[in-house]
Amino acid sequence: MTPEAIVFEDPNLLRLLWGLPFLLLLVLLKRKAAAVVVPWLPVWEKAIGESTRAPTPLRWIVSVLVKALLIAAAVAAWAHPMKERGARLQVSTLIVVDRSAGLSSKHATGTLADATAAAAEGATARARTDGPVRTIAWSPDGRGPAGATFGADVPRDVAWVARTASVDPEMRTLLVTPFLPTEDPPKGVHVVASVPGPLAEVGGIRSVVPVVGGWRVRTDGPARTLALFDGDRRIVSVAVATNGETTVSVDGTPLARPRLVLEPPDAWPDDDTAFLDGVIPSALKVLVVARGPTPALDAALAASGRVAAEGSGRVSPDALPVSLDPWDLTCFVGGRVPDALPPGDYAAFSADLPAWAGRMGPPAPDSARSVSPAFGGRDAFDPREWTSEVSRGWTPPDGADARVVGGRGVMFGKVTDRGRRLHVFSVPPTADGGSLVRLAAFPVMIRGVLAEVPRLGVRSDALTRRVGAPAGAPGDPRPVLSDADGRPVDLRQGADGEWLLPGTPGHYRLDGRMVGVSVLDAPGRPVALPARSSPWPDPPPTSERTSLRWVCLLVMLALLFLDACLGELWPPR
Amino acid sequence: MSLLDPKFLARLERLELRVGRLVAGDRPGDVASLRRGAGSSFRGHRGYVPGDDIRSIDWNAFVRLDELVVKEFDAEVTPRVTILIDASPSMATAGGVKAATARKLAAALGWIALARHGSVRVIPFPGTARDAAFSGRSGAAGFLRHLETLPETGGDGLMDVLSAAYGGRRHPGITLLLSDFWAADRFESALGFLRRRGERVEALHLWIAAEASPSLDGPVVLTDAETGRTLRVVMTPALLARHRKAVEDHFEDVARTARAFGANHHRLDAEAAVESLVLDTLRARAVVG
Repeated sequence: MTPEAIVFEDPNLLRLLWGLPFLLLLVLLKRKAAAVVVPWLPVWEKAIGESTRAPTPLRWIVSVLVKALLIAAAVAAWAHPMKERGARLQVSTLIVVDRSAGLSSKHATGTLADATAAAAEGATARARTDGPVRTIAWSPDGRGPAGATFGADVPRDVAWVARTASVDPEMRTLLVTPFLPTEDPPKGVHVVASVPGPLAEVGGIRSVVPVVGGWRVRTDGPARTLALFDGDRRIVSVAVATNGETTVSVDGTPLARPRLVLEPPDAWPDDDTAFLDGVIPSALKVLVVARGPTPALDAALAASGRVAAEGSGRVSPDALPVSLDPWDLTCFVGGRVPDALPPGDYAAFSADLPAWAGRMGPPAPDSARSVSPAFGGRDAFDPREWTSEVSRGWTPPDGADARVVGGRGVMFGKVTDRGRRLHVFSVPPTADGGSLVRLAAFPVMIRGVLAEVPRLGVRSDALTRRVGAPAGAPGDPRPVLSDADGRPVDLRQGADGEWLLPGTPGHYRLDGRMVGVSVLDAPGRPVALPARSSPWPDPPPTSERTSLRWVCLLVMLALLFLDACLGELWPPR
Repeated sequence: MSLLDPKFLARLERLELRVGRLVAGDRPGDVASLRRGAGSSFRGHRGYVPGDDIRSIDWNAFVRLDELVVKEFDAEVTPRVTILIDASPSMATAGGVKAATARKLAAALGWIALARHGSVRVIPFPGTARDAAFSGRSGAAGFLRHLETLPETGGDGLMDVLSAAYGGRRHPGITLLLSDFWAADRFESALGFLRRRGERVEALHLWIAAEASPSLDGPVVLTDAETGRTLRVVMTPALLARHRKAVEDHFEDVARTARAFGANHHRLDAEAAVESLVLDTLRARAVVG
């Protein structure tokens, strides 16, 4: 119980009382006695003498003050005074018990779910002392992105549960969970993180990078085992160190639904699994067509890490195979690029070009004048130092991508025609071709050529995608999304109109391609359990209010009576 | 003659003061009295008794009746009117309405008497102002000028004034006492004196409504018009109500006192027109006719 206090329902009205002193001063100071000549004063004396309430100036002042108090009492009554007495009344409690999937992880004496249930029982017993209690279990399954299971949205979800529970809107809502949110819960929701004891360390897959013959996977958390599955079939398992990085290698067997799984699962199993695209990253087979050696080009190809030693090769232009399909990239050094190229990726160094690829000029001195913004901001790889005495000055067709332009034409660029992508260099990749092979930008150029190779096919560097990530740029046509079994899946749109991937991890078909959607680095995810319970939320203090307007009315009546006794308002007896 | 309108004066000439039985004049006049006398108004016959003036025997009646009868006539006198006019400061309060009405009323009634060849004395009171006497029509103009210049007086010397004015007189007359009668005690001795002198007293009590119900509110300093004494009071509805009742009681006392001393009391609204007061009120009360 708190002390009693007088409060006003509309205290702003009391500001009117500030005008009362001015009114009083105005009446008292401005009201001078009027001088009146009467024919016979004794008759006035007789009238005054007939009353014991002789109207003297003092009595008049008292009467004015009484009137002022009367006004003040009326204003106070208007403001509706109330006597407030603090109290802690009975309050309804809705206890929401966290039953989300994360509670299946091991705890000190069982699972987190067991500990949470025990804590919920204790909370229920304690809440019964404050009033009626209703307990419901809550799981976020099917609501919102799974990655936010234990994120900041939990209290808001609980508030939603409380509203939909159709119970007393003034109730107190207690969420019993072992996890503390990172944000303050909404009004009325109290988080009771009352699961004591240690919890096993948690971790997950943080990134997956394709490498030749497999993936380089970075994980955090304790040391566990990283397994590769294709559907439910285990392919390979490797051990991962604490907060470590490991490589998972495969033998090139096509995988339909590959996924990487950290074992055993911890309290947050969602980020223990990375769903991968339905392909295997493999090394590229490169064919070099040249009459002489090209050591600089060979070194740049090897340094990229994308070129397979087996399957790649070198031939003379005279021995050019009839079919180039077995090679992912064919590099023509000098000579002439055949007119009839099948769809694929090609590179030409100081070679004569087919008509669809533009025209090469005669060898002549030239130097780089302008560079594509693709190199912007990377001074170390800036090809402006590129000079050559034998640059042929490529005149590309319309629509070509000119990346380095010299004084006599394009020195490095790209042209695409009916599935054929041709990267054109105006000089040979040898020391005779000028400074190109000595530039730090040269390996970068080669790596960029190789990086584009898979994009014409079904393979992709994006081995897995984050849940809720954009599926395309704003303005792109709506992609066709279905689950791994072909059932259509609705696409959500982001704030900028872009199409977003689903919030649930798994395998999906995006425009016919099998893609993986995973939880990686879920933002807002708690990393530790509270060491102790949060303070028990006492019922919100309430108060009992009793109207005191009747007191004001009584005071007004008393003042009226007093004023009447002063002879102002009462008729003569 | 700015006190009264000439047309009103002309109407007044057709009126006369009702002198009544108790009033006689110093000399015969043309105002009929209730006494038998040598007037022109035939009153009736009575039997002859020795001692009657044989000139009053109606010889025509003797021839017809073979009996001596004498003719009687109403005595006609010249009214002797004394106007006691209150010139104290109390009459000047409230803008002097009462004083002005008193002068007009005195002028009208005096004019009636003078028009009937009567005599009029104007005696202001209290104080030591000298009285003035006027008689006949020839004195009317001076009478009016005198009233116009009548000064305001003060003091308590009403009895001294009366003793000086009525000393040695043998015939009673009409005394018109015009006042607001606030100092009631001063009038008791005066009314007793006039009664002993056989005067017919018409007490014309002038008042105004504002005296009973003044428009006052809040703190007020009251000053007595005659004594200058002051009183600080706060006007309240209750006080005003009690004052109104006290004034009414005072007026009742004045009327009762006047009647006790054989005077005719007439309460007149000083704010009314003097024509109305004379032609309506006083005529209805048989002061004039």
